[in-house]
Amino acid sequence: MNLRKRGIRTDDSAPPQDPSPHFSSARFVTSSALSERPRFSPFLANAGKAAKFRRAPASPRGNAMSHQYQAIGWNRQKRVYDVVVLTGVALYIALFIGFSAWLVPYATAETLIIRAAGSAAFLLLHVVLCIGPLCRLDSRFLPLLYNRRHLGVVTFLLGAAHGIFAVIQFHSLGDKDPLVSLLTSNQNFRSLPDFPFQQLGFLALVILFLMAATSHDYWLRNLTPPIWKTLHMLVYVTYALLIGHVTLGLLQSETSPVLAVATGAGFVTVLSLHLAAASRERAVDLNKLKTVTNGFVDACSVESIPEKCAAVVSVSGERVAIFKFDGKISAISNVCRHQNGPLGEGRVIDGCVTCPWHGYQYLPETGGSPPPFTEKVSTFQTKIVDGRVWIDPKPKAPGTRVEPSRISDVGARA
Amino acid sequence: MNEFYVGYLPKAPSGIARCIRAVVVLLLIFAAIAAIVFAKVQRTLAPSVFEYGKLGTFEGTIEASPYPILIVAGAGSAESGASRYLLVAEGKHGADSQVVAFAGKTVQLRGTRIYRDNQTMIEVVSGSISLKRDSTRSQPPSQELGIFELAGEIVDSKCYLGVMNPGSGKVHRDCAVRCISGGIPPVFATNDFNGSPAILLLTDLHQKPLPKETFLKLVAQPVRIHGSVVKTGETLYLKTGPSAISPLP
Repeated sequence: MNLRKRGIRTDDSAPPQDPSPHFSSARFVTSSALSERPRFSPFLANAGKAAKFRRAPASPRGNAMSHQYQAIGWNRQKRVYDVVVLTGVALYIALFIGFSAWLVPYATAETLIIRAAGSAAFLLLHVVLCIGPLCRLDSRFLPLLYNRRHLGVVTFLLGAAHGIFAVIQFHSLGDKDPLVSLLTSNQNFRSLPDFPFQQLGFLALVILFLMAATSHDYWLRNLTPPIWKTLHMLVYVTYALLIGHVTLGLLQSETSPVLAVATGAGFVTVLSLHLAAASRERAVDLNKLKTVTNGFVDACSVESIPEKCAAVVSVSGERVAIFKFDGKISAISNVCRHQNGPLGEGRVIDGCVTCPWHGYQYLPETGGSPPPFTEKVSTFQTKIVDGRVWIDPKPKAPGTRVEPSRISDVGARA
Repeated sequence: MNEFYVGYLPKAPSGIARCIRAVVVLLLIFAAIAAIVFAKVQRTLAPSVFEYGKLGTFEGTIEASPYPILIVAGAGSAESGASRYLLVAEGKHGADSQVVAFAGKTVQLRGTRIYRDNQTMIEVVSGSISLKRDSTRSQPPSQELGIFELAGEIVDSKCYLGVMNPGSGKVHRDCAVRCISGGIPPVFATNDFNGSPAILLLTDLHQKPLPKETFLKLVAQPVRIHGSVVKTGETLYLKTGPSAISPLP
């Protein structure tokens, strides 16, 4: 699995930075789809860290489009992923419309399309929202996350189909412009039972559109990571709006309690998974490292770190991933420059720390991506004393080389 | 677990792939069950039909006020010996401007039938009304049925009779507002008119169209209306005023 030496990274979220001039012939692919969210949870203690990120270094040629951006950098796993997603969506829509046509024979075709697309989009949004925390709780779910942006784009397209058919059906061919009608036909904002639920859905669709339209890594780079990540955190606002849209629309019109129970169960599932994952992260943050000697803090024992893996500790309000590999210890920031993926949950592959989300790689000694990639994360000075890893809480500038501590140096003293 | 997934490698590690295959199968099963359950629990809809794409030719006498109606000889109520078809234009528009020149006259027109229960409407093809003869048909007598206080919902007649199904309720509210605003005759749909469901055309106390701005905010929500009911042929009119319409809690 010699990724670094190939000089390629063919993940769907692909390299937002420019290749080194020395590697100008390296293959670069990027792709399009709804974004991976920078943090999977708004409950994370350090969710605001994204704001610290600077824009990726400018292109040597000053032209971001020189990355050879492609619409989608297809690979086998992405193809399999998309086939499964489209199969699932087609299955759901076919069954819903087929059974509805049978069970509710007088429902019009437009009504069935609106209901099928809307419910499919809402269900899919639940899946999108659950993938992040599931991956944090169990890494076996990571393949679901890798191409999650495509799932997001499909969610938007289904939502758009729902919205477009609804606007055509309810607002077109009238005495007002359809969009004006959508926004003005019901203005009972002060009444909960009469609240204009369609406006909530419209607003959610606008946000989904913005996320889908900017899901390409071209936009991640050009909007700058903080803005892009803030925009994509709006998926939670979208979810809240859609809960309102469903509760104040569908649930007020339908009589079956099954729909209310299903909506509630979906919300509880999303919330529970986020709380579970957040509590796991919080445990790291609450584990304050107190023993300080010569400016270093006692982080963990060498033995507690599995080979090629990391222990994650929180120092000075920042999570640090301490990796053990090839008889050495290195510490770098836990936050991937791409989409804030948890590097500490990654592995050292070919001598590179590999992010579990999209496979972005960093040299543990420097925190820099191997050429031709140019992302850099902060590094931390480490030392090993009596089988324990000590780290200097002060981060080095991203990309600063720090010699790894050798595990054989156990005799050293603080 | 020692396996580690990297998305851009050709294959996922076998253990992870097995797990994901199981998850995907479960998700697909869940999607199938959800689709069937959600389809099953939908509210049943009243039998109403819009014969979209099926144009017919109709001949009868135009009654222009309070709402456009084509009185067609033949079937219908026993008293009148005629059917009374409400007329609307295409889209969310009333047919008033199309029929005004033909008030009281016998015409031929092309249109599409929309029907629910014993009520039929025709969506008139624009410009298809042609004069057959000036001779008019005598109006059937109207019958006062008395004063009623009814609970129900104000909706637009076109959607309620079949262009949309469901053509009532909150989800349909904006559409009903748009339709009524565009001139589609408003009807009051109640489940308890002398113990039976009924569809009553809403008028003012003089049996003229009720000014729509006076009740537009109350469309497609439960309301109570106090008024007198008049029956002309098989058409029921509910004569009321804005102050006699109140929202139900």
